[in-house]
Amino acid sequence: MSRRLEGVLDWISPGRVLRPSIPPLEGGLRPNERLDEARVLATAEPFELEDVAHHQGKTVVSRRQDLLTVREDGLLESLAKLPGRCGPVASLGDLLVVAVDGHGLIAVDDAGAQSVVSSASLVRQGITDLCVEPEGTILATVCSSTWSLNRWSDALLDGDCTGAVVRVHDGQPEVLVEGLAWPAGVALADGGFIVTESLTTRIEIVDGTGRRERLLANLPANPGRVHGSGRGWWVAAPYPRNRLTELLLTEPDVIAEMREEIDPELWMVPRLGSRQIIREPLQHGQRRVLGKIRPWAPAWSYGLAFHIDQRGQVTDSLHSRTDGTTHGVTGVSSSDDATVVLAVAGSGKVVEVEVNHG
Amino acid sequence: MSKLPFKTVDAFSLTGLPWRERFVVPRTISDLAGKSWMEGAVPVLLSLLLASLVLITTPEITGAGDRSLILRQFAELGFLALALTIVMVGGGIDLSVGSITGLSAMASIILFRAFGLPVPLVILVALLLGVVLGSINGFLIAIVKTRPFITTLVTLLAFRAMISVLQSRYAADAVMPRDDDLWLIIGQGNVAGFQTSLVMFLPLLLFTHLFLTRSRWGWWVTAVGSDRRSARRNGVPTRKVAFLTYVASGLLCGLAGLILAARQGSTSDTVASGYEIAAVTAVVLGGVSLKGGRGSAMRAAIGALVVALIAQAVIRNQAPSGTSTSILAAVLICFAVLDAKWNKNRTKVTEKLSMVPASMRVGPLEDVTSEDSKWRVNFALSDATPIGVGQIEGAEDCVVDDEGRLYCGDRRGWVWRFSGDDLEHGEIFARTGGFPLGHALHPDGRLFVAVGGIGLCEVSTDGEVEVVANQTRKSRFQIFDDSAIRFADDLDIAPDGTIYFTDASSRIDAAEMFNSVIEYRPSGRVFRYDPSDGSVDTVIKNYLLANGLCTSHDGQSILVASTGLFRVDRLWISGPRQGELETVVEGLPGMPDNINRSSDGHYWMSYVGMRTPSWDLLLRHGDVRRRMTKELPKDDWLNPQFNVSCIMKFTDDGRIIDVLWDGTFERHPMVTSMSERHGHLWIGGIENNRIGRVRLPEEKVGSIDPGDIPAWTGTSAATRTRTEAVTGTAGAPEVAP
Repeated sequence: MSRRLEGVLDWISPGRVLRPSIPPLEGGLRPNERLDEARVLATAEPFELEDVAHHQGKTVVSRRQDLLTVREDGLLESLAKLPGRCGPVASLGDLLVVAVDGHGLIAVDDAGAQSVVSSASLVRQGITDLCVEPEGTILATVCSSTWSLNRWSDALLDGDCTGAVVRVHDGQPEVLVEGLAWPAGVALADGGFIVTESLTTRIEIVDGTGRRERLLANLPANPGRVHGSGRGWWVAAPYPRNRLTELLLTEPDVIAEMREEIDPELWMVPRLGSRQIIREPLQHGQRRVLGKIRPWAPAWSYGLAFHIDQRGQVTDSLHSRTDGTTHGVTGVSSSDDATVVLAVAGSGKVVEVEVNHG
Repeated sequence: MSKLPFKTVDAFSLTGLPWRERFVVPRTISDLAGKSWMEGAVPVLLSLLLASLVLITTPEITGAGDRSLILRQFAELGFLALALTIVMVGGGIDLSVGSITGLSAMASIILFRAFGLPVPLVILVALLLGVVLGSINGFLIAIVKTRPFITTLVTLLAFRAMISVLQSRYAADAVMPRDDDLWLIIGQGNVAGFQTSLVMFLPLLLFTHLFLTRSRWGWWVTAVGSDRRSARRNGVPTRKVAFLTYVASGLLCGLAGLILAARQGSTSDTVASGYEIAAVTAVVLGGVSLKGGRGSAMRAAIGALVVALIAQAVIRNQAPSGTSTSILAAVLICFAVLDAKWNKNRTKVTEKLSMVPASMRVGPLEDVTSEDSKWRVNFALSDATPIGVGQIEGAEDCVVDDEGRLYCGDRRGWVWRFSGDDLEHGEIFARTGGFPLGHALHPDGRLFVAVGGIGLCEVSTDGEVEVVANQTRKSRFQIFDDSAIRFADDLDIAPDGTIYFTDASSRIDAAEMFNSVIEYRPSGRVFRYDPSDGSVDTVIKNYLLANGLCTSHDGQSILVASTGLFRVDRLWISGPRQGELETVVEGLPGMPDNINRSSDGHYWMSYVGMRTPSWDLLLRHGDVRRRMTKELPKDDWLNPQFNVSCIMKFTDDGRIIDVLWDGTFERHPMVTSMSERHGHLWIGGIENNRIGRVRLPEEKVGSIDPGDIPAWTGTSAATRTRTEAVTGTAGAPEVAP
């Protein structure tokens, strides 16, 4: 009954719809195979890579408890071993700042020496992205106060919105914005910063006074980390939106039983990549027909990073489609206008793609 | 009469669904709405409701006097309703029925009274007048090709004007009453206790009904009304037919006018005015479509009766003049809307309600990925030699003959035959026109194919296809017609030469096989085809997604796999336990497909896909799956894991002794069949582009030839003649003594 009522209300006021229909991939998001064709800089085990950053001419990635530099020959060289799982990485002058889950923000110098930037409880866990402001302060997104970093799907099922953006100044965190639905990326913008909200698939600009302005909404994928680049930003989108998932989100019984009985890795929710295909859910369009998986089929995992300009227009995008292998882009960084480097967690690859604008 | 030696087994209880789930209300509504007779049933039902409403509010019209008035009006209106039915079924409309009736009445009374003509001559002239006036309509509409509506509107006014002319010229002469017995009988009399008009009307009604439904001309009328262009292309003389419908209409109106004149004896120029709307209302109430091609005389007569009831009720209530017409107009508009909407949306309703997924609780799911599982993934099938890549599209099943030639299906309806040392030479051996699913070779070389969408087909050694079974008897007490075999899936030949084959769903066609997987209603069947007399008997009914079928090694039973219930059952077809269904293995981790005998005395079975925890979860929520089918595109529906599948070997007592996987999960998704022959295993996939051939390890190959029918007694064609029969070089199979 209540669903019917919801339907009527949605019809009267389309703007109130919680999850509008998923838009097609078109315009700047027109699919291509550029991620699958990209140059692989290094490989790792799937689901271990996190973020990528450029630091003093080197490409640095975070993998499990390690910070590593990508060597020319494709090997990963250890820079530092940290006490917990490494999350986002950012370059702060001579230092690298990395969020270590359960420990806070830790700075690492060229020699691998570590120093704690902040271990305040607010930034000790759940840090999804970091960015350094010109004054040397650090902006960090905290995914949720309820769910830990690896429980994105739980937060999705809950409709969690307890995330926040904090500014760390001299080791002291200060909450700038709260009540966000899994903020997953932050980068500098004119007079403020840009923040991505994963669960509501929105990208917002927050100015110095804390006023939020929507830059993009109803994206076809859940946006993640952001990297400022020239006149816009590169956005990593680790998870594709799935129509079946969004239908099931309105079926509380199914969701409750799924949480109770099924291993989270096998849930009917988007994922970074496939872990054990035998027991994972399959949608009709994903069948392998005559030896091939259709690239346009609905996806549980997808590879996507896109560039947006100051007005929120998607100007470029890199894809690995349903039949592709380079799924689950979690980190994005670029040191110049010509290339962008991506950490692809789902397939355990660091790839570099040539792009023709900043 | 069934000649099955045992009773049909009802497998419904295997699903664990409560008994009430045998009836699915929305689906029953859909089945009902899908019946062709439902087209007219709803308007008729509604008009009968309307009639009861009239009777309840004005019960006094059931009195004897009123009754005779109603019947009289019913008969007169009935003639007009018949006239309109013929024209409207023929795709036209005749608004001038009232005016023709009036003109005929006016002419009759003038001829009878003013000119004193003998009554038979008056009758003749009245009928002729009707024919002439009808021909004018017919000529304009059928020959000159004017629009029926505007033409008959004009003739309505023209004929009405002629009535006025006649009335002003002859009315004074026609007031003189004249006595004539025949005239009196026509107008007021009774024949065998019934009013003359009714006695004339009822046979005419019967005749019109038979004419429209049973005669060539009647079918032509319907054809022209349904689709004039198609009718013409099929050789129907459309112009002649259209012309004659108006002539027939005129004739019936002429008759009605004569009766009216004899009854009323009125010379008013308003005679029979307003009859048009009453007649149109009557036929529309009776469910005659305004768009043409649909309608029945019987139902139109019911409509006429209802209109007569309404008219009498209005008179009884002493309502002001015009009330009757207003009410009829209101009823007409309501039923015209119903006519437009009901038939347009009926098929939509049928489709929407036809699929009602069941909520099915299935047993626990074994984790095949765990280290100590006997299901552990291996690469036994990964290096299968591909056959027919670039040729095959969707070979569900395959079979290999004595010479090592491979026969397999194709979703385009073909049966391929591959020959040569490496089976590199593929040719289309036969074209079935359906979706070939199961294949089995008869000892005499004929190939039997279970063809989805058709039934059981026989392919001769030179590739000639003959349908041997495509229907069975319709189940009793079932609205849905399940006599067609829609989803023949797998088959095997029993020792006595009868052929057992499965029908995955009695409701869903093989072309929509994935819908049957979402629906999960046990409507599958297992049939026995007896080649001696061509009979098809149901041996198991209500079996959920009946799929693989195989005769056991001892020939005493058949094994049947339920794709939906993840189990294999054994039906004893001979011996002391004949007719009993027993479980062989259940709670399997995937969705079983075809079963075949192995050379070492066991059975191979393939899995079209594996169960996933999510699939098991949604199986419990039929309502959610229903929402899914309604709100999401088909590509977004949840399915079992079809991209991963395997083959297992099991024993007669249900022990699983071998499991083969394609660990790459890329070459053999949806393995729907495997058959062992000549030391190889041949793997088919319903959506794959190849057949895979795997050499079996020596120690796993036994001495039995899986191509032999166990305990073969069926025909006298001996096994040794088989090779010659297959190649066709030996002509007709040799008959051993």
